[in-house]
Amino acid sequence: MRALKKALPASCLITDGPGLRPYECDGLTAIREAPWLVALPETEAQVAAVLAVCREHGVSVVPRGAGTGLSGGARPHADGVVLGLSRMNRILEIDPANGIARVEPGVRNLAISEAAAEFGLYYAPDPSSQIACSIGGNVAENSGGVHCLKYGLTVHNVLGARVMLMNGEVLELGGPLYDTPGLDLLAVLCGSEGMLGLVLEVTVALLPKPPEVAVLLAAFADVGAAGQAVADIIGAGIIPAGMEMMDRLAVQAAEAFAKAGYPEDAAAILLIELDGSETELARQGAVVERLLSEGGAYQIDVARDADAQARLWKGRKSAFPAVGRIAPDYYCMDGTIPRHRLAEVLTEIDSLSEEYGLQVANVFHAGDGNLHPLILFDANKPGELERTEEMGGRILELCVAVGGTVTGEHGVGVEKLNQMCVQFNGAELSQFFRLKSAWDPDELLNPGKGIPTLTRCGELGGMHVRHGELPFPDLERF
Amino acid sequence: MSQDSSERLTAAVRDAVADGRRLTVAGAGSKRNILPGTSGDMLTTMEHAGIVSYDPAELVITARAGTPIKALQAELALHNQRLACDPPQFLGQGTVGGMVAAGLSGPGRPWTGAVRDAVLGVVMVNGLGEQLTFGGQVMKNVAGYDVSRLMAGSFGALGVLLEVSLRVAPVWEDDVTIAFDLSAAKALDRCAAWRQHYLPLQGSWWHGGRFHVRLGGSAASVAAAMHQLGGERVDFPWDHVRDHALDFFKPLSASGDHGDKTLWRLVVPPAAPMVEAYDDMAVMWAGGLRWWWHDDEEAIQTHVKAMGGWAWAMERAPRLPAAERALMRRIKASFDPAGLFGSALPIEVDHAD
Repeated sequence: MRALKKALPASCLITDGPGLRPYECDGLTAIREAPWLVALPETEAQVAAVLAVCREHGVSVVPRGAGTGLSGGARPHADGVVLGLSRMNRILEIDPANGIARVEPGVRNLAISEAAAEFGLYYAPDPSSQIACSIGGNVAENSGGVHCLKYGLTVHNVLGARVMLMNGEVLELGGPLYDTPGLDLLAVLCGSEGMLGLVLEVTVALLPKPPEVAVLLAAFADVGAAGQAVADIIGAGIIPAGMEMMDRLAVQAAEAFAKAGYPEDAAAILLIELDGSETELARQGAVVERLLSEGGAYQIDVARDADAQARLWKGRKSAFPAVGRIAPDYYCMDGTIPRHRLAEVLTEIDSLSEEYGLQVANVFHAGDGNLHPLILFDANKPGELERTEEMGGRILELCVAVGGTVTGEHGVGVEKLNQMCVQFNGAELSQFFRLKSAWDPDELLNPGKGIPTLTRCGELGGMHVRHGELPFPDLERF
Repeated sequence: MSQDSSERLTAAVRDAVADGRRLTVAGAGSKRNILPGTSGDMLTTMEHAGIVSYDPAELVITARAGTPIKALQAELALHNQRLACDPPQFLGQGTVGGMVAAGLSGPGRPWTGAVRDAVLGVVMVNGLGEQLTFGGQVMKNVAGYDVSRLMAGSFGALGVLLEVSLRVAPVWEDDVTIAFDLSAAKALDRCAAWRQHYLPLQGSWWHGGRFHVRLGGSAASVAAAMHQLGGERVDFPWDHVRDHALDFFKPLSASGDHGDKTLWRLVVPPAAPMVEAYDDMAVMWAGGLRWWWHDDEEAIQTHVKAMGGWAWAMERAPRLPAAERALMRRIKASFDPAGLFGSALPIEVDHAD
């Protein structure tokens, strides 16, 4: 601590007291731990100084952006340093001729689009936390958003990054460039959950704003029909800017909260956003409306002006807090499934819901197959959190079984370590660890996150025995 | 043509590990002429071919590494879809595995994305002879490090690709080329201005005072863009740009004698200032990729460094900063501890910089 106090001004260190409280957890508030101390460097030299001290004393470092992550990726260690990058928050450059912005990691996602607006440009990935979340955290989590079916994830919209390794070396990856020599280090850095390197600067691509936008709401009496309508639209060669589905419970909660005008009797609703030129939009809108009504939609509303569109989106965007109002607690899952398995997965979730006696509201990025089942529970009832977590685990195993993944956009963090054992075998996990060692051989950067140890998976084995088969016959058991 | 040789390929890697032999992984060898040479016994994935799964409504196709890109495209075209990237195919010879391993991009790169952007998952054999699966068949997946995208552009250094899942996209309703008589500098000015407008741009090629622009998308948006941008509607062989088959790419051709010069590939910020090199220069990617026949390597390196980019000559390895090269070597060793796989990945060469 003496070494850190020498390296950083007092205003950049929080060493005790209530100041540490906000850093005990990120957006996953169920898992808390007070860090040993928090460093909030304002310059690259200060980041380097913190890493040097931690290296010398073998202290672990947990990088943190805005702390909005949902999987506990920024959960601190009691004997480690939290390295918050929120004070490095300057927009260094908006360069419309090259179509890029160069920003520090603490810049908020939405602030980039706001700064680019005067040139008619914006930054496409828009996670629902975009008012608060920072671009450094977006890179660490490879964040998505409602528009990523058409415009891609963070990895598709980041062209460059200045990165500091745990050993203090600084790498300049990519830039305003469409190609880089050698291995694509930037691709593997995106979504690495702060375990490979610290992002000091990001170069993002800016896109021209589409001239016209339309939002459609379609109500269905059957969830399967809504899923089929999504497949029909994509099958017709139309890639909507956004395509969201909500089931009955989610619709009712959102309507009670946001008064968006959703039909509460629907088994499922679809929200579809189309963008493009005026003529393009008119033609696409007609095709989509026809497919929806042929596909069994009993109500279709089209919002053309910005206010009506904002109202329709408000219901979807407030779905999580809305569900939070109808139950004392909720637990948010983040699986991705091949879209054509949707009806089957929702039926199975229904029966799990009955088995565990816990209600589930489903919010679904229908375009890209990313499913957010929200399990409603009451943490004050003894054992209910544990039952919820177990049921959540089974939903994620279900996602893997139908060919999907345990996390589409929230990350593994500490939350989904066990489910990683279902998705990856021992050889694959070992490869992840070797890859990590190539970047951070002393394992000081965000240890214990993202990838479960073989021992952990081996010990879990007993919980996951199904149909008499051991899930990891090739693993040593202790 | 469909055959599963994954066990044979995995066994071949294990045998090489046991015998201490080096391997070079290859597809059809269609890029042999543009890459530096490699050492080791050739292990080809050619016969491991065929489409494993394809559901057009999912926008994902999974194919074995030896599948010809041409065959993949033919299947996609039956469902009015296309690859969501624009890789060279060297006139139909290239394989899906080679396409991912090389990670090269054709003229559509700034608008359709690179191969790595389209990769969703891989099945591979690493240098320990282990068959590993990373990523999947879904658009969004943040479980574990993104090894599948790391495989794009790894030139076979990390392992043998067995299977690749790729994101696909709908075909364009209209595909039109417009042309302008413009200096390179003026062409780049237009590109910079267009960057702020919502336009269905899909490719650009400037050479010898002629600027070709590809428009692709819905009929309505293409028609509106033609009206807005003007120019002359022409036919243009974009596949020959993509596959380096235009005369410009040949040392001696009707379009000029490049003598003893080397063809350099300069990746620079798109709006970087243009040098007037006339017949020796061609420009793609709205300015972001410049091909230059030149006889002085140091002059090229100085020039490209000043512009904040990098350069690569056919049959040579690009330079890498020392810290990046060292990290890439460690990553290579994490997949291939014994150094089994020889490759064109530029990590072995030490440069003075």
